Amino acid sequence: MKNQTYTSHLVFLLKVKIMVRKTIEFNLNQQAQSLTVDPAMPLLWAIRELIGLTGTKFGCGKGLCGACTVHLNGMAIRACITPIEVVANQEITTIEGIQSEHPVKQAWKEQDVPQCGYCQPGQIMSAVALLKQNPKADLNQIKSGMAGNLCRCGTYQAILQAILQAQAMQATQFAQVKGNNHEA
Amino acid sequence: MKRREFLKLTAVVSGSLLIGVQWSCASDNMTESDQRLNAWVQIQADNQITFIIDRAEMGQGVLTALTMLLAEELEIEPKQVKTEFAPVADVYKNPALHSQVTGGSTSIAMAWQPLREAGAKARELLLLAAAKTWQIEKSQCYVKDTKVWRKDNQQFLTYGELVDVARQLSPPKKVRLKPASQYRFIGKAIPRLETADKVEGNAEFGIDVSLPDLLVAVVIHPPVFGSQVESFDASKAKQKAGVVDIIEIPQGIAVVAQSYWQAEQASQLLEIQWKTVDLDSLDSTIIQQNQAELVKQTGRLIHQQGQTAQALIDKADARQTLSVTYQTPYLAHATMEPINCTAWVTEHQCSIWVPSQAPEWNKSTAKEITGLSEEQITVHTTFLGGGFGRRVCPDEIAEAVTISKRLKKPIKVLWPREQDIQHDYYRPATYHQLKASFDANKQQVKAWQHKFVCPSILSWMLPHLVQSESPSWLPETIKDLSGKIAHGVFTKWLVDDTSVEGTNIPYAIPNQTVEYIYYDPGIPVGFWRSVGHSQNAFVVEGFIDEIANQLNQDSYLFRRKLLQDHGQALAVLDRVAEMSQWHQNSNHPSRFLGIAQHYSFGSYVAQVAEVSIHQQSIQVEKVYCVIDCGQVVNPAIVKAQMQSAIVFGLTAALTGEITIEQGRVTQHHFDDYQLLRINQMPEVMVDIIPSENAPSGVGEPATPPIAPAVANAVYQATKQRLRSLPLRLT
Ligand code: FES
Ligand code: FES
Repeated sequence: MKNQTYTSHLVFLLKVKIMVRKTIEFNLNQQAQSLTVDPAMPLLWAIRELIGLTGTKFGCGKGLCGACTVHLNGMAIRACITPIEVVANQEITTIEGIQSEHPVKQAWKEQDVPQCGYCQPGQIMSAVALLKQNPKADLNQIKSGMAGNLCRCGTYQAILQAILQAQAMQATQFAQVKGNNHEA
Repeated sequence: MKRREFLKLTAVVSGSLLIGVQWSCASDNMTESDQRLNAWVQIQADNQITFIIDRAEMGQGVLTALTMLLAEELEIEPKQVKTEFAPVADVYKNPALHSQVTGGSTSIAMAWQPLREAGAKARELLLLAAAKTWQIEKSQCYVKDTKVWRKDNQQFLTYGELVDVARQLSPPKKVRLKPASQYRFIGKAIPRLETADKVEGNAEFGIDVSLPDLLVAVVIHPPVFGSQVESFDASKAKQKAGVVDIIEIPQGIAVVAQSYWQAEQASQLLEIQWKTVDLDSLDSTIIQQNQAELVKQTGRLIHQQGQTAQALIDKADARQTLSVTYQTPYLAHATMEPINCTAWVTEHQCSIWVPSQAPEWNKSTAKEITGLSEEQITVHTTFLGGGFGRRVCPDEIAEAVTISKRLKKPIKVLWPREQDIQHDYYRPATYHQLKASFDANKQQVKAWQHKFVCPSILSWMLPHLVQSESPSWLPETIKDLSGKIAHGVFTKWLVDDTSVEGTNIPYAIPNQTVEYIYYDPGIPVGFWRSVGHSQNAFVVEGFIDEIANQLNQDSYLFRRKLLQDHGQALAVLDRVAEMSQWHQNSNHPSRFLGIAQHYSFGSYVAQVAEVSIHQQSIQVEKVYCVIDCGQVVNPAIVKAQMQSAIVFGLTAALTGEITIEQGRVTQHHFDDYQLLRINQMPEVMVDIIPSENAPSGVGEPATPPIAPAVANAVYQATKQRLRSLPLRLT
């Protein structure tokens, strides 16, 4: 189904008169992608409509809600305002590319965070990036780091608990790894 | 209300048992497809148990809670049950709303009895089947973990293995439901069943629906309400890559493209002339002026107790009266998942995929547009990225079906956020005048008068719901009403309950008058989480607080004194005062408490908000919340809904406002229609009153008290009494 959409898209592109297009190559969840598209197309729509990965959500298209958050080389970005040409030859990770066992996803499940769930992929992607950059973030740093992600269902309290839990889990994992190395 | 009977139906899918429901009036000779449609529970030979969820899952946890009710009596782990969202059929009607709609915080209350009975009857049937197979008494068998066991030798048969025998038996007419002491799931914080899918990004929302050759449409609606396309020039837009077609439809101009982004970009190049309409000159200030004038009139009397309050207040010495006005603005729903619908209309079929609270209404919308019969139309309900009352309106369904019919292609209509903010069905803007009089010693309240100006939501909803030919699903009462709508029924004869709900106060004030004045400026209004309660609780809980202050009485104790005849309201109030350490905390130098209580959707909620003021801005630090919602099916979900409803109400209290300029909505986006963010989130503490009463509403009742609780706390902090929303210090 995805391929069909993609093929018909390409067929269409060949037919039109005025049209800028460019082949953009990048890695998505560690798989090579090559898309011939309008380089201004936001990454969000390339991921959702051309590649067919729909975990990344559309909420505003203006960088105001965080629903479309993905990682560019491990940093959280808003895919809705990132033209695809910016990610050429870069590494993109979406919610589907974060392992189920990742402490953030684990904590999210244990805290049963989602309500409607629509904002959650974006929340998780922001949280993963935040803890990567600042594993010891305190409560205020977590709050400001997550302030770009809206949740209309109001799951904020559960999100904070999940991030604190993930932080603790990561710290233990880290300690274990360190301990193991020490023994070796 | 018709009584629903659960019964066994002959198996239609080979080797599986369908447990269906039948309206007591329905015929016994159902066709095979009827039987499929009527199925609620399917037990397959391989022991796979599928449960049809007849309500929309929009975050409120209904998928998990309904499954728990069934699982409790059927003796299966909720997580072993496979769930599917229901198609449109009579059996899935919500008895409280007479149609297949999720709303009014009714899902659990309505399912509480029938679903447990369904589970119990299925269980008894399987027990009978096992007893028959083993040629022993039923009492020699018991059920556990989707198996029936023999007491004597611990052999077992799975439910699936019993299907063939069970379907030749008649289910018991009466069953005994478990006493609460034996509940395994009900009352426990069972994790939500769809959490993993939502965390992994696998849950399918309407926006995620994918079909071969699917095209995406962006519809540009008239900026001024009620306007229409005069003419348009699409030549520039058509040049845009990916654009397939641009057509005029009744709702506006639809730009159809290969991808959403292409459609949205092209839509900005449209040149559209809109017809001029009366509303072109409407502004929020005009609406307010009109409301302020109208509120002086005598309204429709909707509540009267003792003597007419007006007379008493007029007679009283000015020092013994209080007279103020309150206002609330229009509010948008702003569900996180933008409005969308996918439709595929062919000559003989219409399929719709939509995140909707009202699949039945969507079907009748599609029926009217396509001219197809009900059997030819299928509605697939996906997960909803938020609902809050917005997703009962069928606009986007009408658009998708219309465009698909015209283009003969599968179409996904997806609204840009601006279209959502600007073309919602808003919570009504209202205006209230309140008066009270006291005795000479300022010890007691003698009279309470509340007059308010408000449009009618039902008068906006009905035209949507009433299709050309009187649809079969429309309940008689509504059919009756709909005919009268054209004659302004809500202006003259009827009072729309959604306007007045929450104004009939529980406080023991001897003389009370409540009057309602209908005024509709022409801005579309709709159901917004907790509906009339959301604005009316702000007003009455604010005013009662003012009265307490006037009489120099403590806000909590004053309410307490006037609630002596309302045990449940009193209990939540006392508990929240205790949790918040009301008396000790009242003396804190920089934290200020405000209290409010409100009864809605069958549940009692009391809240205390703790606020601090920083450079003229209101910060809500903590919220204490107590609910009595009868028996609790899943306390974790109840607590989550309390937090959710509080956040929703806080957005309205602190920032929410839709204003009108020249007939159009001023706000566009999340920058000028701001939602509460995590860094503004108070700590919320929730307590649930234990109860043996039947379950009542959970999704909405915690929204109404939060705005007044915050306003009352702000008064303690600043001595400024804020009487309009959003709360702004001067
Ligand atoms: S969709 Fe990208 S920030 Fe809202
Ligand atoms: S869970 Fe619904 S918007 Fe966040």
